[in-house]
Amino acid sequence: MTPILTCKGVSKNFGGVPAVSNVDLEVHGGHIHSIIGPNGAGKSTFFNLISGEVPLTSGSVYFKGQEITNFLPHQLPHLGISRCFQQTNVFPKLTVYENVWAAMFARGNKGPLDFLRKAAQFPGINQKSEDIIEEVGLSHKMSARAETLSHGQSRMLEVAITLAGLPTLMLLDEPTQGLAPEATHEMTQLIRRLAGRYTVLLIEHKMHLIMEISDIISVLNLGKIIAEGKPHEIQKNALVQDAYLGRLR
Amino acid sequence: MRNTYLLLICFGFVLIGPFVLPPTTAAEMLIFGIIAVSTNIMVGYTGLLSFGQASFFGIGAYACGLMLKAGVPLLLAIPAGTGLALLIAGMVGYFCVKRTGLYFICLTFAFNQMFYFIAYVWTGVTGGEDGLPGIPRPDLISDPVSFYVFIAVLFFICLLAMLRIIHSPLGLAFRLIRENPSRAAAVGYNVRLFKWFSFIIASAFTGLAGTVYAMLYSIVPIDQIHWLKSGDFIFMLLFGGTGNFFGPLIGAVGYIWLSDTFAVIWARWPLLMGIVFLIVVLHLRGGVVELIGRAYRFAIRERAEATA
Amino acid sequence: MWLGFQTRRHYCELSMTLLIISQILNGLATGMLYALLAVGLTLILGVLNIPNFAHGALYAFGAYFTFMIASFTESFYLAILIAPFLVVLIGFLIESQGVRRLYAAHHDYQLLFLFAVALILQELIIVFWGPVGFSLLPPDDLAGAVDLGIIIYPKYRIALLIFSALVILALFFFINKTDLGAILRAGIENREMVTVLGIDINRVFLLTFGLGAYLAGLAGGLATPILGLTPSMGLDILPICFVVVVVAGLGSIPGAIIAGILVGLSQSITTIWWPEATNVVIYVMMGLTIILRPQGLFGSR
Repeated sequence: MTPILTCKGVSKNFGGVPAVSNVDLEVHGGHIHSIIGPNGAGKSTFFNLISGEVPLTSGSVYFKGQEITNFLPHQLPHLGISRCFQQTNVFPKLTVYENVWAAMFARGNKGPLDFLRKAAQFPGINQKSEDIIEEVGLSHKMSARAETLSHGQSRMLEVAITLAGLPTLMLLDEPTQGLAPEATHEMTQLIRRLAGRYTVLLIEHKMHLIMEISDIISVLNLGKIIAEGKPHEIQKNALVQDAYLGRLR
Repeated sequence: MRNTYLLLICFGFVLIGPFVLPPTTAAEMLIFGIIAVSTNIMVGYTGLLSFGQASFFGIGAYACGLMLKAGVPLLLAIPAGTGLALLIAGMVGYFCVKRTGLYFICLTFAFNQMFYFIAYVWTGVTGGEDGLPGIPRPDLISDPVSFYVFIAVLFFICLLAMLRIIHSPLGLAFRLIRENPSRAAAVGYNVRLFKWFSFIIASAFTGLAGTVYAMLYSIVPIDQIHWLKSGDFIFMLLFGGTGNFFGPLIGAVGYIWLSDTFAVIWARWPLLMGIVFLIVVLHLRGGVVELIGRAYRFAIRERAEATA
Repeated sequence: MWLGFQTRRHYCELSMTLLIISQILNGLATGMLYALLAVGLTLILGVLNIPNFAHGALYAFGAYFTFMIASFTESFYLAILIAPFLVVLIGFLIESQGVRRLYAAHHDYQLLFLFAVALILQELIIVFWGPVGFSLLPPDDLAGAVDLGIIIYPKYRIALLIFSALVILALFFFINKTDLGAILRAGIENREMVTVLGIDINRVFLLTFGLGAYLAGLAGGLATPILGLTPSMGLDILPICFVVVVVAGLGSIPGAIIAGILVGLSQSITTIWWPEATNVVIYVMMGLTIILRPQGLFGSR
């Protein structure tokens, strides 16, 4: 079966400093594919290369067989790729509902006239937005402005916006960043529920989370993939241990 | 809905307008009200600060003025003038939205001054420094009151159209861009394209206001296309309050009233306007709307303490 | 007297050459003034991140202060020495009382503040000095013309060229070779870094604004014998400053200098064949820049 996402030789140099070097990666449909690695390994940069925030120095990216190398960020949601950000990146003065609704509305081919219709004329979007907000547990904050949310709630909103894009592939960049254990657990359960319906490419630092929910783990160090495999394989991998403990080979 | 109440209040003011003020002044307030609200679509809702909206005001005014002088019927001259403003805004906007922030402001400003100079030099068409005089009004609206009624109707049509735009997904997209342009792109909005839409829509309505302004005093003075006028437009927004759809209307009324009042007091009235502007920028950035809000909260607190 | 056709044509060609040469020199002179203004504007734009809408007003005040001091002391040189520093005082006032206070708000508000200041200063000129303009003659030893061999050219303009070039050189030296200049350059590149290095960013802002004000005031003073004084001179020069900065590319000081000279030259050369288009040509340059090279000739942002 064709992988949902294929990266071939993806590289990025920032003025001579290699942030990502020759990364080959395949993500298969319905999987939770995690990317781990020590700080500065290039994980977020790698996401930025896929999602078009940063142009590639070399290499190519394919989504469902179609090349999407260097596509602009706003083109990807329409293909079915949605991402969330490590630093909470929502629309502060808009309500939770509007945050999600706007992301969902963007999805798909809307004619210019649709942009001038009243919101009530999109019952599908209205309902699905409410569903997503409920799925992430923010129903009680539906009309609250995003800037009034707590950190944990913001991270949930971050994921909700990503879900609202009705994606095939979700790129989640440290969704549990800064979350307390209980909130982390909720987020973990949420991501686990997403598997199968969505394909998830996940960056995380919390090892127990990774081991618990991942189907495949790729390990990035200094911009290169040093190991890839199922969780129990990675756990035993000496290279990975070295990378995290600071011993370079 | 709150908007319905505010619209009704608007309607009320518009009705009593010509009885409290000279009809021509009231009409001018409505015209500038259209400008203020439409400029706010760009500035307040999309977050694009433009120092060049007078370009399109002037273009609409000159175009319509020339057509009316040439005998073109009003119902053709207004759309044509607006259309020209829209077209030129499309071209100017295309280049301006390629850049953000400072550079965007500088570009709008520089384009504005370019149009001013074209107006200055093209004396055969625009009358140059002396402006374009002798613009006729159709007989039907030649007296001040009927002209006011005409403007009032136009005003409400524009207001309702802009209200509809703001409360549509398009308006939401604009606010997304103001709040977080990179995330707006990440969820699938072509930010540059929507900025362009915002630019064009705001400029088109401003151009429309220009077309009817040509008939207000039967002359288009050249300073209506000067960058100082663009600054005045921003003053209206700030004075009224940008965070609100109706705030700029207060700004327009305030701007006309202040400038008329100051002009009687001192020949150097722009100095007084500048001082008011300064005070607003330093201490009341939310405009009159913020003042009303503060007064309201103060009154509530006073009442709560009194009853406690 | 009837001259032969060939002789007459030769005479016309000679006049044309002389005209072109003198216009080139004129263009260089005004170009230098534009360069001084544009560098000041670029510094403020680069370090404080605001377009200084009051730049034209500062230029005008420089001119009027120069006129006032020169009339009072009968010395143009003294006026040129002192007047720009008076403008710097105004600049300090503006920066500390307004621009700095609004730093937390948003740089849009700083911009609007400067706009309001421009309005106020503009009107104050009329309040203090009246609505009618003045003219100021160059100092006696710079009056009249000098024989350059090919043509006879006004002494003052030559002096202006030389003096401006010296100021620009001094500026260049200051910005590229001194520590303070390095801080300014760093501020343009990366403001946060400057703060992290322990430098008081407020002082840097004040200094930069003051330097920009100085250059504007100096340009204003130097311009008076050539352009005269009118209350609207500030308003008239501001768009040209912005066009120069757009053509140069934001953040580039050498670019500002070269673009200033280019704009000055374009204006003066256009005057030869199409005098009405003298000001339109700068907008043509701006338009071409925006279309063909939007980041400006030397810009990188």
